[in-house]
Amino acid sequence: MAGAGAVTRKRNRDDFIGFALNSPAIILLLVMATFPIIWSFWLSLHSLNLRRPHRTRFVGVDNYIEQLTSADFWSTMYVTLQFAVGTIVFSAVIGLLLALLLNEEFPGRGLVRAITLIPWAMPPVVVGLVWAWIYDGRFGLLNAIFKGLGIIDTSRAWALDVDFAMASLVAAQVWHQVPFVTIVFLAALQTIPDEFYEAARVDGAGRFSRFFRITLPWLSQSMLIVLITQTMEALRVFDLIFILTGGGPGNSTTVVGWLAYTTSFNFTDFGRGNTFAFLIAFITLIVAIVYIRLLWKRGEFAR
Amino acid sequence: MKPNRKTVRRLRRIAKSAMLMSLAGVFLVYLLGPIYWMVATSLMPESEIFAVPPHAFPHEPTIQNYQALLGFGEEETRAYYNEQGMQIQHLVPSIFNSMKTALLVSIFTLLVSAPAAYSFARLRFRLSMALLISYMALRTVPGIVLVVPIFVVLRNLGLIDTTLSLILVYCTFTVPFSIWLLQAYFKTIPVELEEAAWVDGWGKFSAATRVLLPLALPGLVAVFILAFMASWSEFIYAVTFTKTVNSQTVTVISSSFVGLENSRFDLVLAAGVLASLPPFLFALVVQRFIVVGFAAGALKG
Repeated sequence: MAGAGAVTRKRNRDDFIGFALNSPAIILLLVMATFPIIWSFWLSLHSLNLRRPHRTRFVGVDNYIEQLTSADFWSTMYVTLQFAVGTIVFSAVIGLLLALLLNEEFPGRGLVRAITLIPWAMPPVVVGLVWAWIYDGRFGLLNAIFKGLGIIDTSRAWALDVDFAMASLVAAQVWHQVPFVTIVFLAALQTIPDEFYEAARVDGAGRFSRFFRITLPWLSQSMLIVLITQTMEALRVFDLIFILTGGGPGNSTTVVGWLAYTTSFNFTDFGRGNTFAFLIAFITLIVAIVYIRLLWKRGEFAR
Repeated sequence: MKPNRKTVRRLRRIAKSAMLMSLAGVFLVYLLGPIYWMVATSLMPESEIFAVPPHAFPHEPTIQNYQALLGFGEEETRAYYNEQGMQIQHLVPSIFNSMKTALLVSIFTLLVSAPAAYSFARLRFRLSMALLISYMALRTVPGIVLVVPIFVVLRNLGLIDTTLSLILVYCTFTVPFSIWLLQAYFKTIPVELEEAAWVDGWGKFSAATRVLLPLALPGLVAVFILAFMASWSEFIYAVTFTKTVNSQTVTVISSSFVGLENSRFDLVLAAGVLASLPPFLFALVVQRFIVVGFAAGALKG
């Protein structure tokens, strides 16, 4: 049984080396991520306001029950959903059109493809600054353009207008996300075998039926990736709201992430703030599981 | 005269190219318009940004905003801005803070994630799959979940308002992502090359560093750049954990310029241009590497 012993020894040695090579990463993530996550959950089970630290007490799942039954929480979730649906629909449509264009041959295509990445590279804070200026109530570009086209008569502060704040936020986010969506679609488009189109052409399929019968079904998985990543973006959006709307006017752009942050840091209510954070984490986890399984299936994960 | 078939085909091709190019033009206006407007506004003097209707391009282009931000401006200009509540003299130190933070995060990320990625690509060990999935799951945790508890941890460690705190926190999202990307990249490099080095009497360590790492250079560069860009652009942790110019990053200082009475957008957007330059340069120069990251399902923190 000497051979089996040697194999076991080799296995044990590989186990040891494997974990040794991972140890810096594991230590970092235990201290800076796993432990804080657990602590965050622990805090969410308390009534804890930093202004009244002596009145901290364990309340179990009371915070969760309170939130899940409060109309305010659900209206925040509704705002988050509005933001998510708006960004997903518009970034998917614009991204798909741009990807279809970049999949065709034309002079200057390489240049356009390189430029496509530029908005993605911009820090979200700067995206917010630029759009804040475009939406400016008195001297903004958008007012000038709409007036020039005769759409509006009087200027308005788009990002601070109760009817248009959400649309303004979505438009800025879409502009920032279109490059990512485009690259995802373009990567998928480039893997469609030419034979599919040739076979369809032989069968007499027109341009539109080729698009709906071949291109779109081929893109279904990319659509799912876009859907999931953009949902996750909507759950974590912060920078743009900080610059553009501050969650207002009223609560019209208070997405759940913004609520979690302001509850903790503006109202120093760490108990409730962590409850919101954990509800976000839970939703994200569900979305993430779908995402990881998807990448797994595609073979990108295990490659 | 009836045009022959060849001419018709050529005309058709030209017409198609023209149509595609004009569509591309529309997209370019959409993608670059806001960036053009940022640059144009940053080159306008104060009087021009308040023009109604706005000037499509600066009629009297000036670099005075950049001069004021970078510390070459006249004393009175700077004093005036400070009176308005814009601490513009903080921008240059904040750019240094961002540069320092992002470079150290990138280096630290490579040092931590390359060995871990090697273990997944070259070794078979127990729980390796579980470990890899845990990294992946951690990467999807939104910053908003961690910001409160990490704040408490950092406060107890006395690390609030230090660059070190930002470096540690940023590594929590750059490291898992980099391990994932690098292990996939290492697996594309044939192990036979290292085996040949082992046969020649090299140890596994020198085979990895002298054979594998040079071949994996594009992957390492992609990791470095993506970590740099994510750290440079990060905002929620930076605005929460930094209080003074000792550690405030460029995103924090730029964000502090708006929301004041009479926001001076010429100056704000000059700061925006300066804050965008490093990531723009990376995106253009090394777009090939960035697409490597995209292909691996990369998401920014």
